Amino acid sequence: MTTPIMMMPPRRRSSAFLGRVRRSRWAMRVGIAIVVFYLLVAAFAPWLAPYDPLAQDVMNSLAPPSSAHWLGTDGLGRDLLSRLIYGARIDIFLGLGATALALLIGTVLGLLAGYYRGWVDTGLSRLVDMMMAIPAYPLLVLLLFVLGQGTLSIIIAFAVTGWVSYTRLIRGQVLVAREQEYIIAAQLGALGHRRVIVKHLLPNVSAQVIVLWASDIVLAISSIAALGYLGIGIQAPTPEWGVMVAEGQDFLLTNWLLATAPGLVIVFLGVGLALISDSIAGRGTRR
Amino acid sequence: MMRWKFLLRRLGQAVLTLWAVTLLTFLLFKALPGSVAVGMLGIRAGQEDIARINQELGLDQPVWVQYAKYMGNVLHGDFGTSITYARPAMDVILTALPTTIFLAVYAVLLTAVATVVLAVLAALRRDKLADHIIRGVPVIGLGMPAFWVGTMLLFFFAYKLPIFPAGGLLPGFSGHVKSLFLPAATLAVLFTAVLVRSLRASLLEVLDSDYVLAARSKGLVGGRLIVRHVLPNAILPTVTLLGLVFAGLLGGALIVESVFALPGLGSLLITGFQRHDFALVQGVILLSAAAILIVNILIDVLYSAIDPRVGLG
Repeated sequence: MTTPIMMMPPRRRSSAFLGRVRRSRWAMRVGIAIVVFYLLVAAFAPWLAPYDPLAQDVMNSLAPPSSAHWLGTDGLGRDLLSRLIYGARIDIFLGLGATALALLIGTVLGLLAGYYRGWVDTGLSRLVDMMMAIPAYPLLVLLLFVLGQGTLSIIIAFAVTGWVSYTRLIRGQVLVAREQEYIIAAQLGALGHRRVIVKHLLPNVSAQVIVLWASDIVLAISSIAALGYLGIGIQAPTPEWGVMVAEGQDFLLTNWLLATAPGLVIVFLGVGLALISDSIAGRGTRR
Repeated sequence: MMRWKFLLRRLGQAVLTLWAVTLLTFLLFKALPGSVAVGMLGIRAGQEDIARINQELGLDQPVWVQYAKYMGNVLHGDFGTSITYARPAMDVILTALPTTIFLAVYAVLLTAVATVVLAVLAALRRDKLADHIIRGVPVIGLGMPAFWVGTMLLFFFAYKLPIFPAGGLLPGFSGHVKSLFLPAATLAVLFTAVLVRSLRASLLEVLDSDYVLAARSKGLVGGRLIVRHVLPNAILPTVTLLGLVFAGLLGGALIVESVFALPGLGSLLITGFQRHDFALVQGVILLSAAAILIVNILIDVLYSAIDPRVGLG
């Protein structure tokens, strides 16, 4: 299996590095193209979808793919393609909303804890430690149980469970950044704390946060779909991708596309976001 | 001596965290919209009936009295009566627990094997085709929802090729091994995708190091070199990651159980959720928090066992 040491080709670091940069730019473009495609589909769903995603045509249920229904119809005769297209609206909106709120809360708390230190930092750090120990998924279920099902509940529940990782990340970055010359210079220049935080600290810690956000969106969308699949998130008639997998599971043997397609749609979006976050993450560091 | 002190401190922290979790669940349930009595009796319940239920459940007392009673019960392992099963929630949970533990351990074993094999393969075939393919796995794997991977495995390996049972739990050890293979494999696919990149990176670092060069110059090649010299030094960062992953693993197990209709904690959580069974939901959550805390302590201990340089401090 192993090549003896003598026969190993000399490693060409510089060219490997160039290759990585080129590859990462290429990955970035593909990733952005995928994500933009999803956003466009979500934005123009009513114009793109050939049918109403909720319109039932029971006489024509479980139809195989045809020119009238490109991906066929589901158990209630609804057009699969139209449901997938409208699903983009629901899942992407929820995924973005849920993570954006977590990002906002987490960023503000992380900046405060890292910048002011003292009791703010101590208190927040204890809270973060505690939240890290509570398993996220059961807590999510518990919150939905208490808040009731619905779009807003889902967004709040994800924000409550999700802010911790942003706070941890930003606090760490700020602790390093606040000792650097440019921050000290800004403080010596008698700029207000708020201005130093917003104009000088935030831009310098944001790259890592965006990397985390991109992977967080992937996780949030797949968790939202999981809740829909389990029947405790978005509810049945809504064309949510997880709900669609659950509905399609009954027809796996005859119409495998019904359960497969919504999952593939999630996976593909995940690939797009992963490519983006990977190439941002790989830009500054060597590996 | 250090070891015991460390363990005690970690246990103390774990107990504190657990207490915080109980407080959180208690407060969240207090914040629940609508009264428990109306939930149990239905919307048409009369005033006297509601008062009677409230008195029976102690809901007419001040909140702190309720909390003290609740904590007392929890400390005795009493989470209340599950209204779905009309049995103590603890009993119901303890019946379901072994399935989930079996599934989790099974998944960790499959994940460990798959991660080590794939990462070693990628590191040894650096920049070759196998390496590129293995490095692509996380990009796809991270976005794959567990319930969908499970459904696909079910489709291919239970329906198309009937190798494994299509859900449900077979009795006995061999029955468990057989019927839990697909659920465990589902989780292993997802967690291997998370771990393989980190192990590959540290393997490459170790393969470049002087002591591996020294071992090679002594004539060590192949399996022995990897197993004795490279892996033990490269695996540490991945072991820490495994600890973080375990929390996700438990959540994943809860989802996968629903896909494969397994009688574990996850199914209980969903049932409890749908039937508004407080005792059940709360018991499952407390128990899973406890499990995660214990596993994290075990991983710290394991960490120092693998790397003697890491003190338990």
